[in-house]
Amino acid sequence: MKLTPVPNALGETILAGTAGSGLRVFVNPRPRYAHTFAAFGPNFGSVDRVASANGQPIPEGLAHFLEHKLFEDSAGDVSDRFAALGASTNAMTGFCGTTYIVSTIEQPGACLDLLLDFVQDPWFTEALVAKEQGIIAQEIRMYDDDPDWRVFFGLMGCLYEKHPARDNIAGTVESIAEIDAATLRRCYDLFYHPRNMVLAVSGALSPDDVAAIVEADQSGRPADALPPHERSLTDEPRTRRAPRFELALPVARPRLLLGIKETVLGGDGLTVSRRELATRILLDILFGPSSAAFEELYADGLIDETFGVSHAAEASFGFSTLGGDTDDPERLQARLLEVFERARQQGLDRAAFARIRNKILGGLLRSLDSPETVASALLSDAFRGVPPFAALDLVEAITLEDLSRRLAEHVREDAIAAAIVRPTP
Amino acid sequence: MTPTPLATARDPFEVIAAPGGVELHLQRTDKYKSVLLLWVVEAPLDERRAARALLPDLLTRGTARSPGLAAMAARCEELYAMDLLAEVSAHGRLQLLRFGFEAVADRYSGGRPLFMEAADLLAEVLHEPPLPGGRLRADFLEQERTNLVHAIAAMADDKALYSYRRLVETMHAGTPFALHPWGTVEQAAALDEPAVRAAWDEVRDELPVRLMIVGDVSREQALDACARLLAGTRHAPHAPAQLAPALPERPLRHVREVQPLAQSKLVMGFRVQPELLPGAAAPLFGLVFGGDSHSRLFKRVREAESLAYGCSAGVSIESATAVVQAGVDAVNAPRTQELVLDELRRLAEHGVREDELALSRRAQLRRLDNLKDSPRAACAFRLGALMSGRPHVLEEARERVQRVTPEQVAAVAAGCEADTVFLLEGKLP
Repeated sequence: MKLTPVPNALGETILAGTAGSGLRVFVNPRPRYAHTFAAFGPNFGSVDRVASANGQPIPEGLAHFLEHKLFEDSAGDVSDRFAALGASTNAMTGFCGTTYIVSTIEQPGACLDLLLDFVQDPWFTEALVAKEQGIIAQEIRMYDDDPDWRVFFGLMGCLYEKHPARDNIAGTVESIAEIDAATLRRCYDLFYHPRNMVLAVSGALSPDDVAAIVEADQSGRPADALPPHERSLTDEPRTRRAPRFELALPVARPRLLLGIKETVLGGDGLTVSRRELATRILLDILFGPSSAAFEELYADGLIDETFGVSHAAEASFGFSTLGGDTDDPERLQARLLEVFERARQQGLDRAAFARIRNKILGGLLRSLDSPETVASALLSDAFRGVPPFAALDLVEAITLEDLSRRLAEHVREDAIAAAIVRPTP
Repeated sequence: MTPTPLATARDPFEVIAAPGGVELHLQRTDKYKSVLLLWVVEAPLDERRAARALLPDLLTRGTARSPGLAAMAARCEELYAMDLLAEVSAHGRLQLLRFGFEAVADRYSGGRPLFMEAADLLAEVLHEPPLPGGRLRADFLEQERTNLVHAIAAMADDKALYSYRRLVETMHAGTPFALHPWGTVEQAAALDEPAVRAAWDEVRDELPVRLMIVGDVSREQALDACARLLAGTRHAPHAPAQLAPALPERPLRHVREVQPLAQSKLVMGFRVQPELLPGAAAPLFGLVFGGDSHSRLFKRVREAESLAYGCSAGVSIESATAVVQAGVDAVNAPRTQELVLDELRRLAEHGVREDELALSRRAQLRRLDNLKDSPRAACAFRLGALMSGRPHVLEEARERVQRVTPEQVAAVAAGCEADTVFLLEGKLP
């Protein structure tokens, strides 16, 4: 496998290549760092509930269940073997991806080899599946008591009627009870194949060593006959499903999470990234710490340091969230909507736009100090199909007019919903 | 600690006795694209802690030159997203106030002296709050007091943290170890301008300070920044590190509370004999017992019996205690408690296996070595070690880990006595 330099706006050394099997590989060498961090995984997350390869339905919570189960194979607990190599390992499942990570100082080559092995050589038995059901049920119950988790998925349930983004990533106690070894195997085969996976390595391990280890691993595996998984648009309505969700939990204060459902969908990776960045800049201008709205709402006691805004964009779905702890969720909601209305009438602050672009540049530069952040970004950029660190060029190309357009197309009354958690009486 | 002026192969930090009583720890390196500066003030965990806890948010709320949140945030954004740090934490008997920043290194700013501009902004935060009529702004003070009250109350929303706090407050009642660095709701609600003003005076011009800088900064720049942050003030020398106290021997206590939750939280507290804490055996015991995925509790409570998603253990050197935490179904709490006590007994009576000690040793060494790539983690380790009287030089800490024997780990297990069990029982209506 040949690794070739990838030019990027940040001037960071990035090498990329594709193994004969179709596995894409990215390397960010850091000879002055002690440790090596590797991230490996399939383009398969909790929203993938239908396999594009054959239309098979995928049970709720399956991607997360697979993530748990791969850590145990015929030789026992994989974490123990990483520990014996002096490494730590973990994994996480998101809406659109599953990532297995390893961080090590000792024997980075052996750790990378083991990472490739355990993710690609699964072992499913009914006894192990039954054991894992108990563990994951406890994880689900833990999230059931987490007010931030509950308010977020309460909001997603308001925004989405059919799209699986409305469902808990881990599934439910009932849905995971129906997962068996055969289902895991079937779904594994559909998504965990080289052309649907990406490896990103950042740290002390040399690119030559990475290439040699990947080549040796991939050459011993059968040729990949499946195409990469593709997410198609669902027949999800453009409008929100419901305007409001309320729940009582044992919390000290109410919290509000306002959500806006994205109605502009589709497009290639760069289009999605541009949409995501433009929306984030827009929200930062309107509600970020340097905005007049933040200062006013803070001074009026409607928000505190828990307030935050975010935006997530994928080709098949997207959403913005705004909120935090507040004594008066209804009043905060009204004030947040007023800010959007004022921006529509008065336009956006050009000076703030310039500052936020500076902020993004500084944040990107500082993020390069973390191999973990770099490898994770390489992986998600690859899944989305955009070049490494494309954000910098995209940000420079975004204009204030783009943001005004985003405000008009994204913030629509029938796409907005609110989730509120109130203290148990 | 005897200050050593120059960095060595074993210790990348220079330690400089800077003017004003400040102990400056400087790691000069161009390895990173950013520069980290931390101004760490040490105070006792006492009845004035709530007033000090108000300061980070109050002082970063605005300065005389930038009197408001938006103006402050805009200045940070203009400084290429400088991350202004201000937080309160506890370490043993101490309350720590950390002010600082992380900024893009000057070599990426096109000739702009970002480091000094950032230091100037931090100096404003420390010394130049808006003082209309010579008093701290009443509206800022009132709001931040309300926010502090809310933040203290909201700790109860995180049920794992709440359960841990309930255990600690029960175990250490009447000592500084029981106190949260933010104070109580009642203390925070009672804060007035004179109390907060006195806390500010004490923090800016009295309490001991360590300044830690990691990045592409010369010694002269570091000392210049230190002088600006001092602004002519003077700070007391650091008190020597104190040994952990022994908790009194007493029968095992059970505390139970019921809340409408899906999952119960079991937290078990153990007294650890203080004489077992020097050296690295105690943290290795924590790793063998429940500190990693290879540990006894992870293997038995989670993997073998599927009782919990996580069951972890850790040792606090500062308070001479060990704590085990697990999220379980209420009906399984007695079984989990039984397993925890059984594994502790087996460790004490039968000792630790060579292979599990080897895994724990490697895990601890990896954690130490990872500090070499993270300025924030390296500074946190160094500060913690200095305050606890443990080796603050990474190589010395590594050597101590290498020297730990299985017998020493078993001795720590044998020196653990169950003290308090807190169960937050989840019962849905």
